[in-house]
Amino acid sequence: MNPLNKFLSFLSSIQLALYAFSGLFIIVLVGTFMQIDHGIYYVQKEYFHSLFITVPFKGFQLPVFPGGALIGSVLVLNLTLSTLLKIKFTFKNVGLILIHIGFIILLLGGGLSSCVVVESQVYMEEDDTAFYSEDLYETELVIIDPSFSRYDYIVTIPIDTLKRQSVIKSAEIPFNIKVHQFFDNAQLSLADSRKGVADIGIGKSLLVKKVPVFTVDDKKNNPTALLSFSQDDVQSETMLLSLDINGTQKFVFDQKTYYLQIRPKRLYFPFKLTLKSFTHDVYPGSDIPKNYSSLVSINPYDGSAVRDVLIYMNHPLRYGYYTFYQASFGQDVPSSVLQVVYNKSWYFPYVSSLIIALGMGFHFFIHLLAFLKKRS
Amino acid sequence: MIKRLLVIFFFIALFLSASYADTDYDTTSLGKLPVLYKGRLQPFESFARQVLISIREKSTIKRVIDGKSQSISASLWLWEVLCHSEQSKQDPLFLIHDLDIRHEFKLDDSKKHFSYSELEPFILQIQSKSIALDQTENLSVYEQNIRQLAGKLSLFISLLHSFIPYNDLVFYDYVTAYHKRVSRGLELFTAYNTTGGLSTKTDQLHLLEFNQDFKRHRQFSDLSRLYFYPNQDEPENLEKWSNTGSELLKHLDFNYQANPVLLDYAHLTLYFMNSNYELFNGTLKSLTSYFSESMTRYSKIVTLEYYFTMINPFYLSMVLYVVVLCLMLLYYLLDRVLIYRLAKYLCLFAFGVHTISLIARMVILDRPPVINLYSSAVFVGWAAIGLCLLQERFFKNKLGYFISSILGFITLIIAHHLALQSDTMEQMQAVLDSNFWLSTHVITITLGYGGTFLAGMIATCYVFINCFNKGDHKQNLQLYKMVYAIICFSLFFSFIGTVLGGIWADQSWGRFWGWDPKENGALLIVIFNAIILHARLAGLVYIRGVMLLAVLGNIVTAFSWFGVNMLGVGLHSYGFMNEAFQWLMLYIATQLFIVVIGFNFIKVKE
Repeated sequence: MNPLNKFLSFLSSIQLALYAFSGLFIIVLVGTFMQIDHGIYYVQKEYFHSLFITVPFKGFQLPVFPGGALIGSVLVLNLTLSTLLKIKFTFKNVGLILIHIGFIILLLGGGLSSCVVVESQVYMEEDDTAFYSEDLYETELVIIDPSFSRYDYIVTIPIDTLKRQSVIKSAEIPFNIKVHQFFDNAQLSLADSRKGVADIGIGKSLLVKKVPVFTVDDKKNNPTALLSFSQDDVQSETMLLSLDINGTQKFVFDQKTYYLQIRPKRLYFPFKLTLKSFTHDVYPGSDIPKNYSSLVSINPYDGSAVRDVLIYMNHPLRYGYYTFYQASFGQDVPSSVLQVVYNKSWYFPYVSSLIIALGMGFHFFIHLLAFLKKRS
Repeated sequence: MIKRLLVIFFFIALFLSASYADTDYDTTSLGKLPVLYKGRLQPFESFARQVLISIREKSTIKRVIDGKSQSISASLWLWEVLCHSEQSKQDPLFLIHDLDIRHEFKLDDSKKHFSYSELEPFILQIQSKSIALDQTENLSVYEQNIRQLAGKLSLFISLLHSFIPYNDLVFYDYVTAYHKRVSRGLELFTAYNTTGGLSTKTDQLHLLEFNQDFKRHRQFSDLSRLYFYPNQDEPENLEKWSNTGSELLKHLDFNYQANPVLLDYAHLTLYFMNSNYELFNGTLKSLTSYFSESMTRYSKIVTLEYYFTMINPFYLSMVLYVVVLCLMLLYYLLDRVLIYRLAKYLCLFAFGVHTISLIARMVILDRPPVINLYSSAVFVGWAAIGLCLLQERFFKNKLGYFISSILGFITLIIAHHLALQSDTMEQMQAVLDSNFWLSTHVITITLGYGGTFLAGMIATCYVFINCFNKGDHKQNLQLYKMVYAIICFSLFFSFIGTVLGGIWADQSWGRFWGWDPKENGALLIVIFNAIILHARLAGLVYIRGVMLLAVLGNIVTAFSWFGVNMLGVGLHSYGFMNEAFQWLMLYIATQLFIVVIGFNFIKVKE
């Protein structure tokens, strides 16, 4: 056998499938235990959506085990090749082939959704209107140019770019950004009489302390950056931007005014959403929650009619690829927290699991029939 | 024919256990009275047992009568508490395990149960300690126990105040006095509002007292969690049921006619305090008939639940499974067909009781069979036994009843202990309240659990048979076929169940998969079963290998069923269970032990 055939044979082998299954079993198990100390978001990123699971070693991230993405890819390759090369296309094998095709689609869909799904939240008190929700984890730097009459010109820079590059140049922004310091998570405090960390803006009176990154779900990281801006020979002083600084900071560069802020990534809706009322029902004579519901009204930008929708447990609002579900509520005033999921790949699991279920049903059924026939 | 016999047996058992009378009070009628507690209309008996479970951590209570320690009816005990009987304050009720707490309050160290009167002097101390801990995370064992004890005490105190807001009067006297006060009070109140003052000192005092009644009953209606009284116009509307405080407040409406149920309860307290059995039982009868006439929809269900609680049929079937187990062992020793037949029919009878009880629970709750951890244990056992009995029909290798009895015993003893945690028929949390998903996703996933446990149990039998005897290849091959079929079954159901769970998640939360521990647990079962099937296909394992993997499957299933709940994270978790954790570890250890034995003592001849 020539090396290529040998390699193909290995890639399509059942042994490789077993390795992949075992690897998957291990990471699912470990990933579950990791959720004792870490949040689901962190575990997903590190274990299930990554190519390798790494541990820090002398300043490096040392890969120690294949991650979910790698195992998933190997499985897709293995399933495809084994279906094409190893399984004979006979009536008896129809079930098996269906199962394998279904799994290929399921895994591809899973991989895709790990890239395209956006999860965000919107908090509204009664009578509030919202037109966007905020990502729970991702943040970005925004540069707002208010000089246009009918709109603001906004440039967004993902926080990861600030982390990775020391100088950011882009045709869309009128200046280069120099990153002096960047913290994944930092604590701000008042400088009082001491000198603050930045030369301009609110940072003049603030001090920054680096703190370890939170990995649990209920503590928010506070990405913070010390930046300066330059263009040709114009050079600005340093400015502190941080998620914890509420609102935008005014910044004048080359006699033009801009507003800067680090804020959660926004997901804009194709409509305006108004919370008309929020109700919280309990079972009679108890504190056990029976239902939470938000009556919202949606006013689409495309000119279609305004309509009211009731969002309640197990009944989210679906609008295009958006899903709005009742996630929580405020304690003091009647208010609602809706989780907004934007998922363009939602139909993958439906299609694939239907195919797999059909395949399994078919496969086990003909085996059962054969068994019963043999007995009689 | 067998089915009919089973039904008859069931009703005989029902009759036997229902016809007990140890006092002159009609405890049966008392136990059947419907009360609304924690959002659920339930018989007084169920409520009483729940209270006992919360405080005493057992559903029964004993009392020394004439020098002998006797069990007394839970309903009667609770009634005594509600009526502030001195006796009920002397009953050994509060379970305190913690030595530090016993020493701290200088309690008698030789016993574990303490009466309300023994603890009464320390109530304020205990409550304030517990309140101080309200905001603390990661409590120590002592702190947890203090909080628990404080909870038990407040439950008991709130029960003492179910009828009367503040003092130790008989409820009847209190209500009668209040009725007299209230009409005069209303007149004075109107007079005060129109004229701006009251002339006589007595009138002023009367109005003041009326005012205080109002405040007291307002507070009382907010605090009392026990709802006795249906709305007179719409008794079947549970939203409109009321507790004593709010019922008394209703009298502030000039035209309000006193609720006959309240008056009956008031009379009951009077007759009880006077030990007037006849009038007590007579009033109970009229109250019972009022409920059965006005609440046709609920009263049958409540009665059914009463008998269900009294008989505890799951416990009954557990005992039966143990008997079957003993008979089967005896059969293997003596090899008498008669014993086998007896075991067989007893096992079928136990399974019948198990089935009927499951159905009765569904009828009572108007829910699919699995709604919480408790019912999942009952159902996993039922499904595994059902499957096992079905296999016995095909393979006839005389293992079916043996395995069934073990599965029945283990799952029902787990259920029995879970029942001591909380009300097994509790209302569903909002997000789980969907009969459609409960009857599809939850059922399929638990069928998958049942399947893997059955496969693991057959495999365990294989290991023991082959260790003690020199295994017979034909028999091994048959067991192997059985295990293989069951693994296919559970792969199918756990996969479908997992997918349905994903669809539920997508329908409710807009995401199919979130790597939540419970989801991961289900996925682990699917992957593990797939590993077994593929390893077999690759020729890596044959009989022994598949069998040992199936035993390991027990661990995977136990982990995803109970283990993930103990992680205390995720949307699905039910809270941490320390004790259960130790049992789970023990179970895992035994399964590993079986695998090691199998690996070392069984020779592969293939």
